[in-house]
Amino acid sequence: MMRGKPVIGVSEATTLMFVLLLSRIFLAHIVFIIDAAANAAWMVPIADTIMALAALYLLVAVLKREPGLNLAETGERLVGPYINTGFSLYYLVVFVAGAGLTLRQLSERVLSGFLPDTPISLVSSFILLGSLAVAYLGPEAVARTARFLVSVIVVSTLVLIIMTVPLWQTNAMYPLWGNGLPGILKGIVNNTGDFVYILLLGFIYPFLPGDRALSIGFWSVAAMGASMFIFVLVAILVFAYPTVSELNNPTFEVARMVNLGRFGQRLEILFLPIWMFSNLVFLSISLYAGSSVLATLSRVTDNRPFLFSAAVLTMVVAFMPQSEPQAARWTHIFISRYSFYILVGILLALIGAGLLKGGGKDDGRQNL
Amino acid sequence: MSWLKTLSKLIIYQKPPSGPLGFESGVEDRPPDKRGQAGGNDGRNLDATNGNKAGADAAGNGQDHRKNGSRSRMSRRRKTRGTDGRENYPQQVEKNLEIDRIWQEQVGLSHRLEENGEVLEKVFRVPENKDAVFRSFTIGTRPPARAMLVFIDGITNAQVQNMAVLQPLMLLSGAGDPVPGRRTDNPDGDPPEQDVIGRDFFNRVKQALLPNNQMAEARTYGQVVNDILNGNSALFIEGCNRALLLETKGWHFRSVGTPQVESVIRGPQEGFTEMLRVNTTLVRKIIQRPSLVTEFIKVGDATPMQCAVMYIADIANPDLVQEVKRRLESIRSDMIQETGLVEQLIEDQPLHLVPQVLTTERPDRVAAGLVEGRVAVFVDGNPFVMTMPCTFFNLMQSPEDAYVRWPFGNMMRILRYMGLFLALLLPAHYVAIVAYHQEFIPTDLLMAITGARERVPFPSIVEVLIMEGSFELIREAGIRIPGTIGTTLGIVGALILGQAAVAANIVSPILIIVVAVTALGSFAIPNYSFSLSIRLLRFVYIILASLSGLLGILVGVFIHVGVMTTVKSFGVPFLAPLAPATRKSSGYIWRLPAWSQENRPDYLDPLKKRSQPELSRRWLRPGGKEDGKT
Repeated sequence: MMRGKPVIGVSEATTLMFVLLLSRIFLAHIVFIIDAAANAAWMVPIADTIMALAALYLLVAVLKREPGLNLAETGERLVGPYINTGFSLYYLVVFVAGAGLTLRQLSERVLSGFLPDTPISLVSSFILLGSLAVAYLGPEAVARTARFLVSVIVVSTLVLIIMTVPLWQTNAMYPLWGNGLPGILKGIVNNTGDFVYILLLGFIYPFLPGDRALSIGFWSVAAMGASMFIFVLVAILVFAYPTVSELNNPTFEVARMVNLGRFGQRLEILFLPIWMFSNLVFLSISLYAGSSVLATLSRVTDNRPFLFSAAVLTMVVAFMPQSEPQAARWTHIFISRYSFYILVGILLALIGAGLLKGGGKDDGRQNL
Repeated sequence: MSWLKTLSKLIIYQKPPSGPLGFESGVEDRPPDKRGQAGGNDGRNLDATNGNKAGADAAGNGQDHRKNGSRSRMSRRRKTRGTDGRENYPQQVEKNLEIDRIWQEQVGLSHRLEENGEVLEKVFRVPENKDAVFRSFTIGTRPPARAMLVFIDGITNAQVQNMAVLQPLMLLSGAGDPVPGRRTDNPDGDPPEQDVIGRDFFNRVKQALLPNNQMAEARTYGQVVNDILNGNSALFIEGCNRALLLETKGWHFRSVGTPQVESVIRGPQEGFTEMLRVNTTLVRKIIQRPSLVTEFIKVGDATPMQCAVMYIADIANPDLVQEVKRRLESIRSDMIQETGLVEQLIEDQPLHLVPQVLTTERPDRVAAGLVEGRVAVFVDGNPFVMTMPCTFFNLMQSPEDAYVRWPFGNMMRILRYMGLFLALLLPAHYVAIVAYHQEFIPTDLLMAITGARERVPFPSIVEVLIMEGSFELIREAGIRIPGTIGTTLGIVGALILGQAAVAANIVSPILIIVVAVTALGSFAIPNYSFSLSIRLLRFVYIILASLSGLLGILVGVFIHVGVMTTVKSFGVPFLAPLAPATRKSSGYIWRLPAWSQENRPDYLDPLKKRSQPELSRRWLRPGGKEDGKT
């Protein structure tokens, strides 16, 4: 079955990138930020956002060299197939490992919070099947789904934040610098990977209109930075340090804290769509990007034959950790701590290769 | 022992002798005792011969079947079905093909009146067909001329024919000078030559003798037959190879009444009828604009149906208009007598559940769509009109949203979206919460639900399926049963069945409330086709909820939204203007104040983007005057 080239509008692309980055807030990542920077953890997202914007500029600079091609294809043009295979494997690991570890954490969360008697394999399969179905429909469908559901996510999130206002302990912000500057710097350096998924821009770039990639990336990263700042701050205000650093999933625990009098207890169920929809979007687009990398490596134009392979790999990764804390720990170590620097290294290498090869932008291929 | 054989034949199952089935051979159309001798002139003997032969063959085949094995039986059955009656009636088939050729291949009319009559008799299957009327008469000119009026009885207006055709030609045409071009000798003798009645005479009849408001000339049998079938009358004049097609339509039709399924409290109270021309007039009455174009297209093969494509030429995107016409013209199907059939043949993705065109019976709604830049398709004999493209938000709108002030319009829309949510997901949530997530219900409510369900022996999924199935059954039966009985059945069914089910401990009272609210929600959906899709999907969500609770529902919603994003209506995404987001169409999600609705939906890409200027209330200007005007 032939498919036309997908078209992703500016609004859909921005929303997709935003939801993709936002989904990480709803799992355990905040704990690691707070653990490192204590009361001053809210500063970490601000600094990381600036670093992410710098990396975004590098990414767009690379992509602009070869309009109409994704990051893996651009890499092949710039550094050749052998080195680029290494780079592509990195992209594949980021997407598949990220999806697998997210799937495990989400499944464990659903299991412990909502379906205690259900086997985890069934829960994981159900989630993965939903993601796979939408991923199969293509990046355009995933982006539009994200655009349609973002209103639910944003409205529910705002309601959640507003409902926690009575629980805020403003004195929990002090001491303002937390454990001191070294702790904050450690938090900043160790959590840059929360923004590594700007990488997705490299794989939807061929479907974006005109020269809007930088604008799309900028607004999505800025919105993600602002969201993370708010959620870290709210978690600190509600639970105070060090209690908050001992929680498994602060955002979920915040949702469990809110209530509406005697009748409106256990309102976290109302916020379940936030977790589910944002992570389903994350999984869908990760499966797409992973299969897209595999297709590029195999020199196949259609990514769909590789979707099932990507799903199987994701499921395998999901069951590698022994428990949810281990999955969260691995995510922190392999994705949050190191992946961003590797990405920056790859981008710098690509830019350097481009400069060595000379020339500038594409020689008219975008007009083909 | 013959009685034993007879008895065994009656008791033991005997495979019936296989012969040509009624629907295969067409023999069921003739009386059983006179097969082959039914009325008809040329085809009578042929039919009789072939019919008898077919019967004999069938009997023979039947005997052969009993002798041979099952493989032979299957093979012969296939062969019998494959013949499709053509081999049994070759001459009849040949005759039909010849008539089709005359009708469809632009065969020209003859100069001879008798020949034209014979051809048309053959086409209309006269004398078996009693509907076609061939009225021969003499035009009272000096000298007189022979003529013939052909029409279908029952779909023409006899008064118009008498007063505007026959009377002027027979009685009044003699008053005046001799008709030019008419040779006075041999008025009704030898076969006429083309010059006997010349062009002048034909034109004189057309221009001076017939006081008919619409007429056209035809030169082929195809044109004549199509117009006659459309309720017009064809006038043939001896010696002329042309016919005059006279507007004499006159069948009975329902008068314009109130809309049956799209009623509003505030707004016009007239709906479309079964008359195509009345329907186009109802829209033209609202849009008094010279650029409103109505194009007619015949759709279908066996019974070509008149369809009208309506659009505003200076607003609608020409590509959209072209695409609609292209799809209609390319339909090849026997019978397309209903908008629902046309809809299924022109929609982008027929496998999707959601409707991809908006069907309405309200002229004001069609007019509003046309002014936005949409295209409307009317089908003759149908009180529903399709407008396209159609989006999810169109399906959730009612004309009344625009007729009341904007806060109330918004309130009604919010209620409708709530209704959609309830109709789609409430029973599924009931199943999920009762089966999996009891802890999320406040304790008091949980006690009430548990107490009510205590004596119900079924799991929640069975309970819900029983009640939802029963409700759908009541609804379907209520529609099929006529008039007041249907209403009574609905009330009786809902009240008595619900009450009895609760009393019998088959379902819990809480579920009755759930099902009732779900039904109210589905009734709040303004589009019937969309409501049907929601009713069907509700069962999918119930099953998902029974499998994995809220997780199943949320994953289902995710896939559902994902699939809906791929649906397109004439190239326009179904979830526009939300996904993809378009800048100038926000008024189509929320009801904005009338003065701020300045742009047409940009996803339609109309030729005129703005529907009103930025300052639409010019009286707000100092002095309350418009530019340059007092």
